Amino acid sequence: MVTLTINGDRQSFDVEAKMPLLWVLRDVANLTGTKFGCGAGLCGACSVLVDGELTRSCVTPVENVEGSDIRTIESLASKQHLSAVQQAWLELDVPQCGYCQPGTIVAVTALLAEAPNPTDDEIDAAITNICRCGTYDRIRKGVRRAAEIVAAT
Amino acid sequence: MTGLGIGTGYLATVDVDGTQSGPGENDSVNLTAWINIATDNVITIFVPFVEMGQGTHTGLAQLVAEELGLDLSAGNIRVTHPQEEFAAHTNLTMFLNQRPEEMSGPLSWYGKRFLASMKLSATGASSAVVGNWHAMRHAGAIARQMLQAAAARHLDGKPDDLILDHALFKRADGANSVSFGTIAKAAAKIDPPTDIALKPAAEFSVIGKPIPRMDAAAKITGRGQYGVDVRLPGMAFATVRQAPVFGATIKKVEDKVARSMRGVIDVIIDGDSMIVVADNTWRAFQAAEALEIEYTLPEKPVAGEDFAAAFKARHEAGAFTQSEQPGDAANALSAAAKKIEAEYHTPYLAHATMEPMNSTVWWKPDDTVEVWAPTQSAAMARQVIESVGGASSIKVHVTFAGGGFGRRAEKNFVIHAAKAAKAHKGRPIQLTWSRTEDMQHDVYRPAAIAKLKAGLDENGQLTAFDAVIGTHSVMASFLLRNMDLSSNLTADNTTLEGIAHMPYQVRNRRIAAVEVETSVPIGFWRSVGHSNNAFFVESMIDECAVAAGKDAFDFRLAHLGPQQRRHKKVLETLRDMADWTGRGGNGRGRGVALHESFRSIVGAVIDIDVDSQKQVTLNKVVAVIDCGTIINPRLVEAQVQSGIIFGLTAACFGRIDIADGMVAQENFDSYEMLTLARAPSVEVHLMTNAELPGGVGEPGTPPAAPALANAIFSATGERIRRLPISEAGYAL
Repeated sequence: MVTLTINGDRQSFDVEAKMPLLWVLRDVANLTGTKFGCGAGLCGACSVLVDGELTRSCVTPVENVEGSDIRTIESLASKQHLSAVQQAWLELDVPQCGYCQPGTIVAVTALLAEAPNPTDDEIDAAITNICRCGTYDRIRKGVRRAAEIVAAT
Repeated sequence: MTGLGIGTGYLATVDVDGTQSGPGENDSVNLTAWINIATDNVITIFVPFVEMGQGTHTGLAQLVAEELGLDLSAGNIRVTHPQEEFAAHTNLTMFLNQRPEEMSGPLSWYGKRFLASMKLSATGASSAVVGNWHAMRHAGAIARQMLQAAAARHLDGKPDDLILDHALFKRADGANSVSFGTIAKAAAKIDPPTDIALKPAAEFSVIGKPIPRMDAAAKITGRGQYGVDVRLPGMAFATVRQAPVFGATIKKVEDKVARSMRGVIDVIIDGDSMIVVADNTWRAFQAAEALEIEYTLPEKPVAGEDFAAAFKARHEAGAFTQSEQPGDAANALSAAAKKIEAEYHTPYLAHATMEPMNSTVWWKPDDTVEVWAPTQSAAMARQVIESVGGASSIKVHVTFAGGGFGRRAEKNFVIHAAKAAKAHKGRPIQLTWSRTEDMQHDVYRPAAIAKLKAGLDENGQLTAFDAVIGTHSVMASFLLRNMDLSSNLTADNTTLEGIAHMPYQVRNRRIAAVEVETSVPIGFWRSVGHSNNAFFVESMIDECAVAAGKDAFDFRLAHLGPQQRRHKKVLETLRDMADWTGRGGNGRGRGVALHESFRSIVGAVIDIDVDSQKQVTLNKVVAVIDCGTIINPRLVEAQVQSGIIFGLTAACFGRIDIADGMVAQENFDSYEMLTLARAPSVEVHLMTNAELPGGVGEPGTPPAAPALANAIFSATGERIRRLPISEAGYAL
């Protein structure tokens, strides 16, 4: 049994300690917003926040995150409001196929928490998610727009 | 089908308009095949193409909304892939390579009739807007007129006195109004009009506007449902382990350990594949790895270098399968003042969609079957179930696709789920491939070799262009694998697309193909033959410009005739937008390429830096597209950016190596992608004109590689004749 706190909910799961967090989220907890891309921590589609830290859930055994505050894409928007990053993504129409975007949005959320007004170099270093549709131009603009939205609120 | 079918005869029923009206699900009606209106005024637009990033669920909805008077940003509009499988007339452009507007006469009539008799719906060839430019607007106009007539009766006024205001008709005197939902059922009983006048372009208020993507909100919140996100009651999760060597068969399997692993439900041998069914995907992956499998290997496993050897032999034997040869290229070459010869090579490529291959099949005890698949062809998914046999009915749900690029126009990601589901009737089974399976069992962009010769006269004008393109036939491999059809190799139009009928005016040409058979599975890869041929033509043209001592733009412009006025405008605009000076060197380079594909023309200039260690920095791309009438400038911009990054990724890193019958690459560490830090900014300019719309999903890709190769030449003086650029030691 593993007890996890996902998006504020404490739940117990009858799974192996070594099972990657990604698959507990997707196949056991039915939180499918976090995506499977590579299974090797290379693409970032599975990114979540663990105690605020950007984490690639496909290579994170659940035993490592017991007792931590796990946040997935599903928790970023409140019932009424999208998060600043999501608002920016919507304004600029960043997604194409969109499969990588939950992971990218989580990564940008983590970046802006650390660096509210990131430089290009900081953006380059922090956002390493693979987007096969090549939305990078709009991702970069989206980071800046999200920073503006955060600054204005 | 009332009224119209009888009124205008069979042609209407096989036309692209889809005018079947009738009752819909859940207290709604269908007005035409593409529009559903519920009594609560929720309006659903059916787009018969998969949304895989290209924006078709927005672009095609705009065509309907233009005529139906809808505000797509209002909360009551839904866009979805239809449940019903439509006849192939929605794919008329893809299958017949013609615009519906250009078709006339008895042959076209029979062509349409033949296509309509088949259910072969598919998404591809950048053809959704091209093929449905009239059809979707017609649907909107037909529905509007039916609703207007019903509204007039309801409001006790004349149809012409009503004002349309987003899903609402008002009387001009302001006396009253009625919503679409209220009158939809009455409208469905009205005969569809046969005399349909479409809005002139000057009155467009939705077409040409940067309407936000209809799918964006679902995709940024994690709510959007891709194939892997389907969740059904009691669902099991499966994976497949296919023989890693092409042509290998399973000799012996030891599955005791796998079967005893926690959560494992079944291990199934299916031909050269092992299917593992478990209670979650990870457990299925773990058990699949635990299988001990012995294979019988093919006598001579395929290797990447087989292609070049086979090409050489066939070339020497003069085994040309297609050719275009106006004038006399051989004579003109020997008479040329200057002769340029070069051989170019491109590698096999994988698609590497972000969402790995997957599908979900629910084979119910009564043999009704439902499939959920991120597929470019619902028809293919249906055919897979038919081939398994025993289904009493088949329903295919097309989900969002996490990238497609041609990969999902295949059957092979549905078959294993179908077999597992049939073996476990009543239990839905979702089968997901690991990334390694996805990369090693792709259908690959074919490798190609181009033997090129060009002749220049004293003035630096091309007098001869001779090209022999060696590659594998995409169509032959596709048809054999997916339709069990062995095709005549001469019929593949994709082999020479983008090099035959090139825009540059050269009187003496020979463009010939040498098609080489292979056991490597070959498939459609974004822009297909253009992805190879644009690199060959635009690199060679650059070589010729250098040999002629001319500027790259001047040389190209000097070879465009009056028929190529649109190409000319694209180049001239690009030269301005990119502030082209033509100068490079000392590590700073700029390269240009121009290419027409899928009825659109894209020109691109890339600006790079190369240091003494051959480290390349991609600074910026400026691109110009002429895609005729623009449906949505924001979508066009996004698709050009996407196509260019896709092409640059391949040019920088892309290569699939095949040794001892298997693909060497496994994941994104060995098959690298451009990421944010290394991607250039891509500035896109859209030409505006009143031409019929062209495709936009693919045309950005072909010019990317040659523009980069030409930029490297401008920076370093080294000509890139083999992709990716890492072959010549360049790194990013």
